[in-house]
Amino acid sequence: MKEKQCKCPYCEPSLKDNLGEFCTPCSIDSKIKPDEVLDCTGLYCPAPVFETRKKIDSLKPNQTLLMLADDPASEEDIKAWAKRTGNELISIEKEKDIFKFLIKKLP
Amino acid sequence: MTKKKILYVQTSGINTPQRLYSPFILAQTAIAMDIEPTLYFLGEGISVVIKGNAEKIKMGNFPSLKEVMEKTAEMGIKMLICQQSMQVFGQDIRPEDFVENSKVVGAATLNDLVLDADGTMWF
Repeated sequence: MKEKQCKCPYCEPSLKDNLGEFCTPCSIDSKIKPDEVLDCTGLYCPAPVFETRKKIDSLKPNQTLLMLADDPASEEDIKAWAKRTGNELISIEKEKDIFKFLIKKLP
Repeated sequence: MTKKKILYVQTSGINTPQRLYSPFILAQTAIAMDIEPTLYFLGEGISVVIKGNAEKIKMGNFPSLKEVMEKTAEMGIKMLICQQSMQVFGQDIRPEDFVENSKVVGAATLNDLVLDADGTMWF
């Protein structure tokens, strides 16, 4: 498959296992390369919000996080969370049943 | 920027376990959203915060209510209890019968909290 040819650091095998069948950071249609990736697939409300918050707290201002979730509630929940915390939700993409949230930590 | 505040009032007791998880889960989520939550237990709701009761409640795949409550306390969320509810039940419930990290308060406090909050939810 195409993704096997990819040489980006996110295609490191152990991380790719976490991302399931997608090589998500490479396939995301954005020029922004996330500083961190957080896989929340399999987690349900409110866990993706908690995990995202924890991860964002560990980032430096203006760093970006790519968060993956398959909880259908996460789409609106992450929007609401970003609005309330002041972090920027740069994009939401959906691939199969997985949402991909690109979030920039507030400056 | 001052934080928004949400007050969650629990008026349902341990005889309706399906009504007990939401305020705790919402309050924990509020913390993750930079919102200041407060939990207030009123009427039958005080049965939830009497020592030994939360251990008995577990719904579906959720952790026991006791675990949820402990996590809530760890996160520094205030749990306030209406003192007069203790009288209504005619039971000899004393402040020391309530779970740790809770505080007995009164009606004026609840009125003040409602006016002070940006939103309230009743369960």
